[in-house]
Amino acid sequence: MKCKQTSIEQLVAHADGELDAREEETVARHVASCAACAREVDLLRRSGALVAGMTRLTPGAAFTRRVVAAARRAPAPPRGALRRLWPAAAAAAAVLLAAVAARVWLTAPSSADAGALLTAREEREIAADLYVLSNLDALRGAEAEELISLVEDLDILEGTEPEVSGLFPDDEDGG
Amino acid sequence: MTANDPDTDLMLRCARGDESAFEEIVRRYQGRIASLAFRYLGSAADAEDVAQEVFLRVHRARETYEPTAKLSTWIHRITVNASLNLLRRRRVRRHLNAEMPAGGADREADADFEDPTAKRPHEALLEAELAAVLREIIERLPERQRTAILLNKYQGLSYEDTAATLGLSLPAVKSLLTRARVNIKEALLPYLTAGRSGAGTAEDDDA
Ligand SMILES: [Zn+2]
Repeated sequence: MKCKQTSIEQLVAHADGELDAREEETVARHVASCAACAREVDLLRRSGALVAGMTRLTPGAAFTRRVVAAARRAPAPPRGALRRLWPAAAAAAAVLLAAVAARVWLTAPSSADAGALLTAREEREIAADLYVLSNLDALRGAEAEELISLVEDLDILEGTEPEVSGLFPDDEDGG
Repeated sequence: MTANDPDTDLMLRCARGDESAFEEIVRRYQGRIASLAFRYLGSAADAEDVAQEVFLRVHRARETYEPTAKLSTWIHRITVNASLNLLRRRRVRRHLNAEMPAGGADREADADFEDPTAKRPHEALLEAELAAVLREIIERLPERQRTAILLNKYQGLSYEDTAATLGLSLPAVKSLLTRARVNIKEALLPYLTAGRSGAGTAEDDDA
């Protein structure tokens, strides 16, 4: 941006109507008299409107019925019992992580691009993903729905990638 | 923070075992939640699966629900997590099975849900191209920027609600959103400046 009188962050917030009244007044007055900023705001508004207008799904009454029926079939188990089950789930996940990790380390290099060995970063990524995979897929086979939900919640708590655990640190159960 | 959350009463009724309240929550959120998941997954079927899982989690947790956060914040957060988890599991499956096409195999599903608003042919063509470009831009954004922009611009959450959903401070969210908006705007520049009539959806208000 050429103009130094406003920041791009201010222009974005102005375009979004998210500035407080005082700042809004200042920025709006400037934008009204500055062609460069006015153009910037216009581009931000139009590109923002395009994001807002991206395709949407509209699940209908059949979806509602399906979800309500599924919820009825799976009543919430008592929290106390869940918490007691938890150490078993963690142990199972750890064992499975090791098992599936072994398999990936054996198969991945040949299937990755040009038979190259995985970089350290790729290995970390796979290991992070495996944590999820081993939890979910294997435990699902155990037919213990409480365990699945517990471990899925744990993914959020413990995180599988640093970035995401930082982003979403809270369990939706509110701890 | 939640005093003005119109959904609190609904969730409290749900917590007391009122199944019609749960159904109302599903009805109220199913479009938004499935759409958000769709933006991550690109497949309508996967998005509906995730949406169902989100609502089942809400249902399971209903008795322990404490209105310390808006219901919409909570539901959006679960949706983002569930979508990202599924994306990661897909990535692992691709590592395990090299024959799997590298992404976007379900893209055609998008067309089924396109708004059937009638358009003149050249407009429709331009919009289809623009939609594809935009989808790709969003997909390539760093994960945090992508999530922030989807919550704010696609889902229509305020900056404050976006911050609450992400568990970030308001300044952090402003900075994320600014970077995302600049990236998107720059990538769309050829479309935004071509002819000036290309993006008919833009509001036209003067500041
Ligand atoms: Zn200016």
